[in-house]
Amino acid sequence: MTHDSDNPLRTVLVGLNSPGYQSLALGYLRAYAQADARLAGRVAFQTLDLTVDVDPWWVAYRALDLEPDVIGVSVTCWNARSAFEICRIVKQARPQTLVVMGGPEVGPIAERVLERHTEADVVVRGEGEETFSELLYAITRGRRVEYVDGVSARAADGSVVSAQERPLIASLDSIPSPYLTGVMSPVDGGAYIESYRGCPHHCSYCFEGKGYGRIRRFSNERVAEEIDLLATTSGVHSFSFIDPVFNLTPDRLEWLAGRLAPHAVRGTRLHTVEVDIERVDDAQAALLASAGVVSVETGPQSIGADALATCRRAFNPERFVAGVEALKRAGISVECDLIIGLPGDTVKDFFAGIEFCLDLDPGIVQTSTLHVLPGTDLYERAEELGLRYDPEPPHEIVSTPTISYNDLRRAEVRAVFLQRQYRARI
Amino acid sequence: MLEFQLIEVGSGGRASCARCGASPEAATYLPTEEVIDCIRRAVLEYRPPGPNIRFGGADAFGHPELPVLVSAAVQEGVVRIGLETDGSALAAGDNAAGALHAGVRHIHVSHVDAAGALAGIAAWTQAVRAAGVDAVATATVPVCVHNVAELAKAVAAMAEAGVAGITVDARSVSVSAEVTAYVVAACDTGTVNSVWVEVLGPSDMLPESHSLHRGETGDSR
Ligand code: SF4
Repeated sequence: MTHDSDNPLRTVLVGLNSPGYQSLALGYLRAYAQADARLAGRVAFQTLDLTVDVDPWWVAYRALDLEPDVIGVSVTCWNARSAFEICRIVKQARPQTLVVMGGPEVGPIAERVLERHTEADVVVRGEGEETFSELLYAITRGRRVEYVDGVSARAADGSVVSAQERPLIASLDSIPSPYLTGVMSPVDGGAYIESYRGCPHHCSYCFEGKGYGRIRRFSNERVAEEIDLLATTSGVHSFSFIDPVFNLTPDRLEWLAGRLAPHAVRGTRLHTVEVDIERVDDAQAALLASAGVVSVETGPQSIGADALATCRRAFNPERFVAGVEALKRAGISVECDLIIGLPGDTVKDFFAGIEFCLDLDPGIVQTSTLHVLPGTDLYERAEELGLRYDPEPPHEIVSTPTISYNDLRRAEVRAVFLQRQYRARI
Repeated sequence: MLEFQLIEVGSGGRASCARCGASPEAATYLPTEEVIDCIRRAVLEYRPPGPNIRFGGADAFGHPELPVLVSAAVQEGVVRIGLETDGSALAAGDNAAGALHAGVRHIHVSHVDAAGALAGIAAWTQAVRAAGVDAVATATVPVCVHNVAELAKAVAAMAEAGVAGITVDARSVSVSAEVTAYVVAACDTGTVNSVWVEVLGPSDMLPESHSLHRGETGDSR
């Protein structure tokens, strides 16, 4: 695209979130780009942080009102249908707008997305902050976008091309905090802190352990500043951490608890942090309680031996039970999650999992249906494993060699019934 | 999976199909103290998660001191309290809201008189919405030759009224291709309406394709 360099590049970022939440991903993109001196005065940002249930035509209306030169949309399996519709309308109404998509739903299958969706001009692959800034810089300099590392785009002849991979950001602290820079204002219950990227586990159905590879941390100073800011923001009584494993190491948990405890004493609460429950003992549970943690989320996702092996998940029932009991003793509610439709699981395995969880009386038992997500190991091995799933997002499982389509639907209905029964208590 | 201990508040008085010819004997109710003793025993013996109890045996709303019983259950630490009813008493006055307020979270309706059952489930659903709490209605449909052809219709109507799960009690009908077809239709109607249908009866009542709907015991909910 060509850009009139006398005017700043109007860049509109669109997030389609669950109700009550904001897009941390867009906050990072904007904070990083705004800190790029090369873009100062050349790019003007607007963020539309909306909920996924807003009519795509109205989202497009709001975006088009801003007459964007570039529209960047963060796409997950949950908002993809809406996101594509918005981009389609924007492209029709304003063909000169460059439509940039990024996020876990499109990054891993960038070329396929560009081939199927003519409304998309550029797909940012993988970690987006640096790539998006470089992309904006290329536009402001009148350079072709398809040469920017980490993007896939359409070349001059219309063919879809991918520039080379961009290495992961070496120092996460080089990404300014969206909260500390004022790019995002924390909202009660909907603000998240990310203290590291990557996951020590490699569950086959999740891109977390695959997409980001090794674990990279934000510095303690940075995390401490974010904690202090969120906890002292007027009206914010609770927030959470987006980290895949909150109790990543004992030292880190102790450090976090120490930083959070003074705020917890004044009433700040942490909700639904994810923990590796098999590492939780009374000492860890006490640390979590002192940090203000009121609820945690954990597996087991399945207790079936075949599914666990296929999905590369470890599960030790005794340690799992001990972890739940320790948390309950500390007054922390546990959400046990189970997935229906994992390869290797039968319906019987799935309900044995529910029974296992119910017997623990953890507080919440939550079931969900498998989504075969782009970028995950299961997505790549779907054919080999005989997984049939909806090719359209959110890629819900249709059948497996061990569970038919109809039995999956029946199991879902029964599982929801059991969850409702369990939740219905004084 | 989630066990409820049945606490009998009395016996008799339960309606059954009028065309089957059986007329119900009058309900009799147990003394309050006797029922409270049963609650205390149930609290000592439960298997987690719980303790969960269901007042039944006769329509729970017929017990003259039901509020005392519910309050005793709350005080004894019961976390899930259920009531069995034919539905009509639940629909009367503020009974649904009152039961919820007292701590009842599970209503189990016997679908014999369809109008009463549906009115009760609907009143409960409305009260639950208004109170903004988690609570469920379940139902049992005792199947006989006179209502088997209407099973799917009954499931659809209860689904619309807000029921979460239904037990189709087909233990007193003989298996035939026709009966099986009706029961299968009831299961499928439940599934497409997000209502779980469990069937009690001989295992050949349901084809293998619907084996997930086979209930384990008659008293699991
Ligand atoms: S499911 Fe959780 S533990 Fe497993 S790889 Fe993903 S984030 Fe890590």
